[in-house]
Amino acid sequence: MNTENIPRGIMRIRRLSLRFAALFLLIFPSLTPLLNMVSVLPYLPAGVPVGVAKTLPYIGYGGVAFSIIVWTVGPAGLVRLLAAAIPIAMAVAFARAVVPNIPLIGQFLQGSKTDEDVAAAALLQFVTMLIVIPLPLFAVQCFPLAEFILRFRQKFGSISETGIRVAIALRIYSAVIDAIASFWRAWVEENPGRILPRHRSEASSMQKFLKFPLWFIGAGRTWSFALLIYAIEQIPPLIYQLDATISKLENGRGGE
Amino acid sequence: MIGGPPSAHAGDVIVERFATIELLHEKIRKAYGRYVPSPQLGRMAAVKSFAEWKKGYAEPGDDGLTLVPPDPTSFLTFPTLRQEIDIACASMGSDESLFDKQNLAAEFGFGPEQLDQPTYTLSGGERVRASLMKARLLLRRTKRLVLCAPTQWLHLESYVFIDRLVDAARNSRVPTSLLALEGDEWPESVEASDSEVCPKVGDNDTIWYLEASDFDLPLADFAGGALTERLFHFQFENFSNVRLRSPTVIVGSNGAGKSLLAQCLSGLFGTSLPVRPKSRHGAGPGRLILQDALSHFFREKIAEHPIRVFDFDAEGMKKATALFRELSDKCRNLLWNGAPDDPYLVGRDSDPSTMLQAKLMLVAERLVHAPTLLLLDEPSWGLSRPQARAFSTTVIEYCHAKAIPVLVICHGTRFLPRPLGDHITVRRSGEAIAVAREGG
Repeated sequence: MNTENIPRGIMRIRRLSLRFAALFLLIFPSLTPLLNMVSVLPYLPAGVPVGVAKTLPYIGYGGVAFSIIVWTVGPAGLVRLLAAAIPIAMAVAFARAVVPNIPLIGQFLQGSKTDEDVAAAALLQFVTMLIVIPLPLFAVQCFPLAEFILRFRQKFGSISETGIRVAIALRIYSAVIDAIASFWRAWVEENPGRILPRHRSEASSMQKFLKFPLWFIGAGRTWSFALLIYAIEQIPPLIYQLDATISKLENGRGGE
Repeated sequence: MIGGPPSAHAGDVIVERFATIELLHEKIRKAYGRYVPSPQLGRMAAVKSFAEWKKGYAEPGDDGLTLVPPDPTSFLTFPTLRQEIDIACASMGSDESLFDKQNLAAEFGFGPEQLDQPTYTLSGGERVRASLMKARLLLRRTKRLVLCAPTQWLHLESYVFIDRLVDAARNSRVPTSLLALEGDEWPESVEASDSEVCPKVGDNDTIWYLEASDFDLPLADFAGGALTERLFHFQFENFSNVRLRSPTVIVGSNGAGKSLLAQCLSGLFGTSLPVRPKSRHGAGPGRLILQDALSHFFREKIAEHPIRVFDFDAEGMKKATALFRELSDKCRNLLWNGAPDDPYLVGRDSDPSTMLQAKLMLVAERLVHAPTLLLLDEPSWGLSRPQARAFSTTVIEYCHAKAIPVLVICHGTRFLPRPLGDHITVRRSGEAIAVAREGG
């Protein structure tokens, strides 16, 4: 196809890739290997558990991140962001603690890991989640998309493909976060116990033990799938509107 | 023109009516070549539409078209209204100075504090107003304006904003099309068919009590509320224990807090003081049918949802399925137009759920274990007017037969069966909301 004849706005759309959205989503988890490379163990006094030593770089990184948040939105803002992260982090940490104690299969799942290894991994995961969850939420919330576009245009004269891709990736990400709130309401209305079904009159204790986790996984997967579809549903109009807006901006320059 | 339909004298306004929202979406998709997300169609259909959109987008679009879709969210690009206005103004180039941004926002009913509020926290009606405002901003570069079922979300008081946009389009010589659902009252007068079905007002069996005099609902932005926070104060005038007759209707303008009140009554939000409904079936939170009922269904077939809901209650599943059949049949009879097999009447079991089916199944699932109160949030949303009327009538009649009170949240009562019980009017949004009983 001869792309020369395609209007500029259309050409942009065809070049866009969802990989940028995925890359953005992976930025924060990708910090994990970097932080793992930082070893503070040689500088610590003897007797400090290795698990704690491994966690310290994350705590340091989190300290910097949280300082920026507090500087921007104050302590109350940080507390609210942490309010979203703490329950999830706690749930994961508790699950890790419970697994080795499950009769029959607990030891099998734990494998050759010692209790100290399991505790260290749980601690590391807890701290990581406390950092990983609030930071992108904060970053996206603080991202003034319109200002970004206008400043980009003011500085460089036009908006580059990369600029548009970054703008769209961030907008999609924030749209998904927005959607979680409404989908969460639908979940809670049906399942006020959050992790248990509302109607469970016939569930014996053995059923609870065996079937509730399976039910939760199945229902949670359906819910997550719906959220994913909702996110996909938002992409075309977002890209279209954004592209149309930017095209109008470019066209409008002639009148200035 | 507050309280009435927009001007019918716009010579350049073309109105097309559609029996169902599915047909409306099909028209938009085919005629305008634009992807229009349609929650009413379900999630999997959205994926299919997305694929079609990707495939068909190689064709250059109509740059002069401004299309306000039925789901107003999809017309808003940016996270806040201020950003939306800034960019729209900037895109007008040299015309930018024509707009006083603050006044323009006020013209479409937005206060300064709402400009930085995330758009996803706005109510559906407020998003429609925001879309109308954006269309107004883009009018200088618009060659053709299309409004899709804008009255779906708007309170009667807000019709004036459609008027303002259409007047501006007429002054700018921009031809305007209105794609309306069958029964939508613009630009014609209200269709008077309410007397066709008349379930009785709640008798003593369906009286319910609201045990709350006043309470606060502090609402924060989902992602921690770091940037936005709103406090809603609900106060029931002169009552500490409000006695209400079913069907009770919550009315009020867009963004006043109607849905929030309903979500408090269903226990979805924690409040400063306890608030709970009480009826013959006990005391405690009511059960709510959310506006976008298909969010529960995720494009499943109608039989699949109760399997998940009643995984540990086989008896409940049987009862819910049987009740769904009963309610569907009643609805079908009310909608029957000589073609009982018409799939648009209710929907077919073999297909993914329609919005009407989804709502009926959700009602059936909630009525199996008689709730204190059944709350219907915007029961007409996503339905044609005849469907909305049939659905409301069917549900209210059944609930009253079982002594279950019903509370309906809506922008207008025109599609609800008469007579109604009590009205709760949510008067204004922001920091103080007064709620008064008006029935009698």
